[in-house]
Amino acid sequence: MSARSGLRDETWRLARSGAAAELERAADLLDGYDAHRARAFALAVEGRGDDALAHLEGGAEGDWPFPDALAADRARVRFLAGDYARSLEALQPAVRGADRLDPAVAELAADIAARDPTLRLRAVKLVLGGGTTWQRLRNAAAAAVSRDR
Amino acid sequence: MERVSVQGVPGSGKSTVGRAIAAQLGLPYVELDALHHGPGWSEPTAVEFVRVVAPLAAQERWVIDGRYHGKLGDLVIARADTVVWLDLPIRVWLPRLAWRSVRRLVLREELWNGNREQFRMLFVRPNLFRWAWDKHFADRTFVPQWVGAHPHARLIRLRSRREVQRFLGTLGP
Repeated sequence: MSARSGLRDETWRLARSGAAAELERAADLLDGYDAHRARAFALAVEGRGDDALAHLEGGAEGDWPFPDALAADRARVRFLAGDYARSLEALQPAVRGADRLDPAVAELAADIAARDPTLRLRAVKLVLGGGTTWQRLRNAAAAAVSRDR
Repeated sequence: MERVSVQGVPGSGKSTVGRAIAAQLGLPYVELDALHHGPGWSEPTAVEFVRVVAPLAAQERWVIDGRYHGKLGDLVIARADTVVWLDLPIRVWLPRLAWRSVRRLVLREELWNGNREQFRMLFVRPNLFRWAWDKHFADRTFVPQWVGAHPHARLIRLRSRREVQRFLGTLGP
């Protein structure tokens, strides 16, 4: 979900807290891509990154979700599975050339840098590649100093 | 009582009772109005709203205040183990609603996400009072049938302020 909608991404919040059972239940209550997304996050939380990614991709239909949102979700799946390098890689299409960057995407880049400090420089470079000038500077600073939560 | 849905017309005290139940049972409290009314009184589509509420309803424990049946369908009650219905007399909720509306207008109280009560909204059709009035009678048919269709959920119907106080008193410390 894009933070631009102004609504909280509760599925991601559940995923960040590692609540696999709750994510499974949420998937039962959701439809379409949203259900696939919740189940993919549950699989990723259980460490089944590849299965999760396949499940996520299976929920994408036609032009939904938009490519940048799908890229961000791929990155989230990798992140939850603990594969931070590939998470950062997956995030690139969501950032590169974006006029305005979804704050949730920038936050994920900072989280990746916090979890794996060896990726910090790459994360900073990544967020410098998209968004308004002010966003680029602010997001780069956030990625440079982020600490694991 | 782990997942409680609180129902009632505006002014019946849903938020107050919902928060009291949450506090006494140590449950997270969710106010659907606060999620539904975005900045500038913007509203999510049904799909967007389900996307937000489903992960909340999927959790083990909560008090969810509100229904939004048109957008959420049975999503909340499908998970609820208890429905607390504040079916108070009109003479109780109508003055409360009037007083609350005036207070919010005069004091410019922030409701949700920077939104404030607007004078004109008291008169647009259907206005809040007319809507609450219609809902009061409609709920008398709807709520028992709706909860009856979900036998896993226990209906607690509270018809007076005394019953509300007594119910809250049974919840523990």
